Amino acid sequence: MDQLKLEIKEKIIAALNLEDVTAADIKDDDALFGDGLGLDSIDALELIVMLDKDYGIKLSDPKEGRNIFRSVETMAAYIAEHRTK
Amino acid sequence: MIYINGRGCVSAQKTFDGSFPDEVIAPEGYILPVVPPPYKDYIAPAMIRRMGSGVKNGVVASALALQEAGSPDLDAIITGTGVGCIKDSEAFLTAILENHEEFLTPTAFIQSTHNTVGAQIALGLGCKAYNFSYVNSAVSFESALVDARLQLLSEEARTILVGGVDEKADYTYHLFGLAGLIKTGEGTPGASYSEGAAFFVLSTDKQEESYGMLKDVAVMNCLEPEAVAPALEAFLRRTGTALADIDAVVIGKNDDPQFQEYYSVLSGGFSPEVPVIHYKHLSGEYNTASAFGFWLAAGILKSGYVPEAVLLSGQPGLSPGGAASNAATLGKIVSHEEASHRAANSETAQSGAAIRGAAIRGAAIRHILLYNQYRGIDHSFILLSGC
Repeated sequence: MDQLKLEIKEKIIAALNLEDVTAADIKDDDALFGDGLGLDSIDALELIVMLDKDYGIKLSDPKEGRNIFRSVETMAAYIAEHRTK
Repeated sequence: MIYINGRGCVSAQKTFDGSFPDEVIAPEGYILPVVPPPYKDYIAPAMIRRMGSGVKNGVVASALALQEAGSPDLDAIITGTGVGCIKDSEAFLTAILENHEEFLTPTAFIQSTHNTVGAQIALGLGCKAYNFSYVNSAVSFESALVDARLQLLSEEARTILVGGVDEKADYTYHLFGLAGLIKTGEGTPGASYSEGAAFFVLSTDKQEESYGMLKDVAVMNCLEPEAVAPALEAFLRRTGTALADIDAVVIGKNDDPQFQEYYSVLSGGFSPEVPVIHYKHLSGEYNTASAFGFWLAAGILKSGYVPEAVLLSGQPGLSPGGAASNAATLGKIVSHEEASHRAANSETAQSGAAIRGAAIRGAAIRHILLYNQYRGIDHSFILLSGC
């Protein structure tokens, strides 16, 4: 799971072009949106595509995203359970 | 009257902090990188991570111009760009191909349109005024100038931000190379290419620090070399300016051995002592490189100095109506790496051993003619005059 969390952090940094941010800067339970990493709705779309492309997870209900993208911790748990690749 | 009240430029030279022309960066290779300004001083971190180089350079250049002009309220933002935000266009088109039209992300697409630069400038300023982008190859900047001039003369606008911006992108420049547009060696066909952004605040209000006046702009798509002189005569006639009134000529001559006849025909029409100034050996070629020429000409008009590094022929101090005065501001040529390092550390320009960075006072430079063409098409004349 730790390896998956590190992988997710690196993918987030690359996909969202987070300059001056390293994987070590993102704590597992940091909020990704709002006060935490400060991501916005466009970033949410990028993350949805990332789940589909890299892990074969299609989010049919957009409301699910609110919980899945709460933190790296919640993302890793969801991916570990639902990934198809 | 239309006054140039502010200018800003990001280019392959250190134009963003006033180091150029005292400090001239020697071109290395045939694709010249820009000297990056401290972007984070001008753009919020949350915004900057989504911006391509063209957007970032445009935003910084516009901020510099507005700062100089005293941050006036704008009645219009008009941008010229030849290839737009081509890097992001490449990014999302590549993603379409690589992912078989699936998994398409929004960021590159949103940032890829030709009007992204003008839009981001407006968003940053909270400016809801007229916002238009001209995409007309090598007369994109001039087309934006024509629009700005017409709006100012017809009193539809009082102050306008106008500029030109283009960025380079790996695949596009690879195609340019295949098409023979980019030089591959000394004496080979093709030119040295680059990217950059230059913005200006034009206004009907004169300021104490105005650079000069924009008198007129003309754009012609097709012109044979023998038609350049008659076209210039017609242009000057409509501005009420005689050929003998022109104190300096700024030409968009690049290092492509082809299509140079246009410039030799044009400069051949002037007295040998009239300074002929070139800049693309320092800025590189790109669709809106003429905005760099406009930036340079405005500086010469205001300062009365012709940087030696851009003087192709003629003697500024001996131009009609002027006495010789070869006072020099010494500078030096530095490598791109050194300049980038200094920029990153926000160092100011330093004088050193003089090579070509000297400037020569050009007494009585009142009227500057700019002429540009790109591979035999997209010709333009611009006339600037002192205040």
